[in-house]
Amino acid sequence: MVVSMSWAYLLMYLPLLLASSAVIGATRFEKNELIVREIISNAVRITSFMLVIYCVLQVVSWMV
Amino acid sequence: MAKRTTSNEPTGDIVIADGEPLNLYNRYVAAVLAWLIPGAGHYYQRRTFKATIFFTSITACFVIGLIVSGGRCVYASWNGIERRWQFVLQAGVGTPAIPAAIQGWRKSSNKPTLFRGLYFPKHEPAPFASPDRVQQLDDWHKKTASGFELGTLYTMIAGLLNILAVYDAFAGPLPPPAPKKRAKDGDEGIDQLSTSKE
Repeated sequence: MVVSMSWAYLLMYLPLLLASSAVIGATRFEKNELIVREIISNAVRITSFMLVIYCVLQVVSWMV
Repeated sequence: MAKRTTSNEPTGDIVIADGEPLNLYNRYVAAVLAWLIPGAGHYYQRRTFKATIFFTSITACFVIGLIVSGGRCVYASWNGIERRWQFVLQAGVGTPAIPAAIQGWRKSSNKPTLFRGLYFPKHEPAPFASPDRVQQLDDWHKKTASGFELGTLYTMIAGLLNILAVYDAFAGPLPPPAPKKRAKDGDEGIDQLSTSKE
């Protein structure tokens, strides 16, 4: 069994990801290039965390 | 918080951010503006890049939340129908919070809510007004499927993000997280880190 989710719900994740990583990134630095770098690294970090959660759920679903 | 330096110049408060002085002008005015409209405080401080980021991302998050909930998820209510604790977080974005608070206050003091019939039908609550009955709240959930919950989540997150933006307008950027080794050294370690990041 594969843990599945509709694309519509996955699309709902994008604005939240963009908004939260942009605002958190922008509150950390003042220089534009540092802000952009922080925004990208925040987005990657959050997405990686979500992927890890997905993998854990997938493993759990195989075990059940 | 960025290191603050005192300045006798009439131009405003100066803080050090990313190793350079940053003029916050009147930080109290900036904070109020930032609360009212995301990014407005930064625009007042002439930090236009940040103002654009804050305005775009926070407003988009809030508006998307309102749209998916059918324009219903922002209201103030503390009665038998619903104890709307989510409004405390939504109020981080000031502009829609003020009409919602006014509508909530009018409703609790048995006065007619404003703008009834303006956007929604007359038999339904006015914009930013709480539901009249539990059944009405159920209908909102039913009509939008999970949109009401998602919209509430989006608007709550927008409010919380705007609190960060208000803090940034008031006190300058937050310091980057210090590695554990340097955290023991105190502020000196944080300063070294911020200069090395440049």
